[in-house]
Amino acid sequence: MILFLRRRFVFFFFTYLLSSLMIFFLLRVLPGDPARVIAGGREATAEQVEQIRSELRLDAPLPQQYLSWLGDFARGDWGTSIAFRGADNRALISERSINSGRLALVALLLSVPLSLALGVIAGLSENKLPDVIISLLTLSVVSLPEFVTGLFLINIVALGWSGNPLAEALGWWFPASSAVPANASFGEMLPALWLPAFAATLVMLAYISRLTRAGVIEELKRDYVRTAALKGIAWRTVVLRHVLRNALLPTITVIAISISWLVSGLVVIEFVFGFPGLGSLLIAAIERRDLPLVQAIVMVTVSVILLANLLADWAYAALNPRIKLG
Amino acid sequence: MHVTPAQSLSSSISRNLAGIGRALRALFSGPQSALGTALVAFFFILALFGGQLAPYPKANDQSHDARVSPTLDIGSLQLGAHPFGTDRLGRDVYSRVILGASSIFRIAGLGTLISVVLGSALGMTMGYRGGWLDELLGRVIDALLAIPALLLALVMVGIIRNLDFEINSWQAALADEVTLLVIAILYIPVVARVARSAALDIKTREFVAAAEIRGESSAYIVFREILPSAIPALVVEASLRFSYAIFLVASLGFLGFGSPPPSPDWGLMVNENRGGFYRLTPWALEFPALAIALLVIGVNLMSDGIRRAVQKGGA
Repeated sequence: MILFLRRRFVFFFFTYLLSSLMIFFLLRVLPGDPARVIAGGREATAEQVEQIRSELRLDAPLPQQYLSWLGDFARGDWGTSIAFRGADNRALISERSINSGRLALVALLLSVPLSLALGVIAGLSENKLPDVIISLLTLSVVSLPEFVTGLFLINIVALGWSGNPLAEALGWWFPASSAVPANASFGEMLPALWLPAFAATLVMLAYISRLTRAGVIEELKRDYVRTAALKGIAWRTVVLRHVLRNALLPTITVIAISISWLVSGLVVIEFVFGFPGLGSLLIAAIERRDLPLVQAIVMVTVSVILLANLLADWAYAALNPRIKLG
Repeated sequence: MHVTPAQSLSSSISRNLAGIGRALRALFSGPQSALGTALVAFFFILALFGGQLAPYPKANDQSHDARVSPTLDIGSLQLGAHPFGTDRLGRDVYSRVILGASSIFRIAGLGTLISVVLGSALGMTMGYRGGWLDELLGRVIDALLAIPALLLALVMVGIIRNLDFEINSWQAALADEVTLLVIAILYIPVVARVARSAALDIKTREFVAAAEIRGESSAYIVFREILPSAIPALVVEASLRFSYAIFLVASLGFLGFGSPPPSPDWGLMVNENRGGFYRLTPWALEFPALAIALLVIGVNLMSDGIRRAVQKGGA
């Protein structure tokens, strides 16, 4: 297992370096002058361009620029924001990351149990009615773009619910996520998290439940299932003790992979709901041509995704006795 | 017996045609995939003949009264003057929804096509040749795939759009097609990975060894020996990519990173009419959103059907 993890760690490190190279050069190698892009394109004056060029050390050779950028990033010096005048990039990103993290946490808590349950039900009733209904649901409604479901949730569910007498009597409705201050506490934020988290749940639901279903179907065909059934063990016990244990193991990896889906889903969802998270910050940064902020956000996102994958590998190795041999 | 290239080509074509016929029948045998294929075909017809089908074929035709409610009467199937109403600028929503089909099909379809052609050539060559280049490219692909596609697309579109090109230069022409290019670039590594693993499997078969003994070139082996056997896997991947591409184009349009206004891009129309405008003209948001929803559902059901049909046929 140590060997396996060491291999995975080397891979993690290599991938991380490569993606940092890609993030850096993607924004540099593209035709055009980054200083001019940041300064505002065609309308920028020569002095503005020069000022930004010297501020960001854009006149140094590219490899040197890359190394100093990576060094600054690793040390936590992410510069000050151009789009949000004077704000410290790191403070900005960590505040927004915490908000996105809360949203992701609620979304994961909703989606993982739900999609596992749906996947297991579908897998156990392969090609029968429950499976057909679940696969039709996951293929259609659930795979709609996040902004369609998000707008539906805002305009139909939230606004429809807020007007009715039952909502008044319960004193409970869905507050607008855009009204939440970026530095609110988790408790204050939670009521505004439900709807965006539900929209994010739908993104992951299709993916996790379909892979769980495939895992259950595959395990049901194994010899040991037939042996256990022929021994006279109750079907319930066979499913709970044998099939699910084996079928749910790969799901750990699936959940880690779907973190990457969740990240892109959250960008759209935060934009739709006006939620002050990392995704809406990224869109604002791109629109305002704040390249250093964009780079830092993408680096943070990639770090989260790669760390989730590494954690999943570790959990998989820890739970699966067969890995120890490799 | 010696088989000439022309003979082997014609036999492989007829084999593939029979395969396509079987796949089509399999596609329409299940209700889900038949529904999906019908939906996609419907929107494809709109994309091809939108200019003829739309009552007001100019996308930015503001000559109508603003904020007219939809005149569509489902009971009597009467369309009326403005079936889906008009938006706040006096543009016919029905015409704009019909006209919008062509851009999403063109961008997603061409983007997918480019990525499948280049990605499978790259991936199969990597898988067949192996060696350090395969190792290195494989790592680069893994690293690229660690960054979510939407994030990369947003960054690339956002940057390219802000570069200043001379008007009428080739760079400016490319920048107009930035979404299409970004989709092609994003999906090349994804397709390459699938093609590579297919090639790794196929190259162990005897007919590849036979071709190597005959002294065929690697290009011949990749395209004439490996490609025909890899087609089922590539078709499944292409349909999957197409469904993601449709999804991505709609999302980019909605986020304001697709075609610029006043183009009748469905995602853009949804974005332009949300928030406070939704109260004024809900139909101007609902109909394009419905079109996106139906197309995405259709493409998903169809690509799932294609996957099932190919798996059944290939086994």
